[in-house]
Amino acid sequence: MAERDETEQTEVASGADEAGNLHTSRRNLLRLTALGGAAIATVRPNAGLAQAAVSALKCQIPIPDSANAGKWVKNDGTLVKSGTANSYAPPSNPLKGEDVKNSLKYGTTYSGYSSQQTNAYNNYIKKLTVGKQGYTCYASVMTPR
Amino acid sequence: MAQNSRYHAESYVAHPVVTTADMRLLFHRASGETHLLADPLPDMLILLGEQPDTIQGLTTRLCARLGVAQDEEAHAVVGHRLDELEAAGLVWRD
Repeated sequence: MAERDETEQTEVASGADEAGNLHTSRRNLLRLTALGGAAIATVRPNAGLAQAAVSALKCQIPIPDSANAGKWVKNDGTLVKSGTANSYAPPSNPLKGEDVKNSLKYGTTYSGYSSQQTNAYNNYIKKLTVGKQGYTCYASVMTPR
Repeated sequence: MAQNSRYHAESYVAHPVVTTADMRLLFHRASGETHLLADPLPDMLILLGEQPDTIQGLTTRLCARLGVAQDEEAHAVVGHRLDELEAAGLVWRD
């Protein structure tokens, strides 16, 4: 069969008994020592990557995170008690990944909010750390395509 | 349980395959993924595509196909390789 022939072509006997070497090499395929590495590697299509990029733009960042609901955002992005001077009420809805990307990259303000508010929200976003709500979205927004 | 369940694979000829010196590149239409297979995975897929089988049954057929003696070691390796093929979505159990 063709499949067998292909396999046999890969076996290069160095002068010795060809059939014997072939047998040994095939035998080795089924030895436990052959289990050192994976025998299969998978290449995924680019469509998957494009899809991930799209979903990054559709993700959302809540400000503040639900554990700090009701708090306001100071200029520097820290969360403070509502009504604190030099701080701003949080956006009424979570910010969209695409808007965050545009704001961080091109300085656009969030629709319906002043540039000071935008600045405070962006400073909050930049302080997000692993495990915080919105961090994954921020990270994917900032990942270059 | 795992010893007795039968492994299935699509007919091997259904996949476009490119053969290189020591690997096969197999395009899996259903998932759109391309798998690089080392020996003896293509042989295992060919055999399972012809007929679903248990680890034991496949080991027997594979050893016969490759012309090598069958033993416990071969059985263990076939089981391990089947796990890899299953993880890649190329075989499944009933």
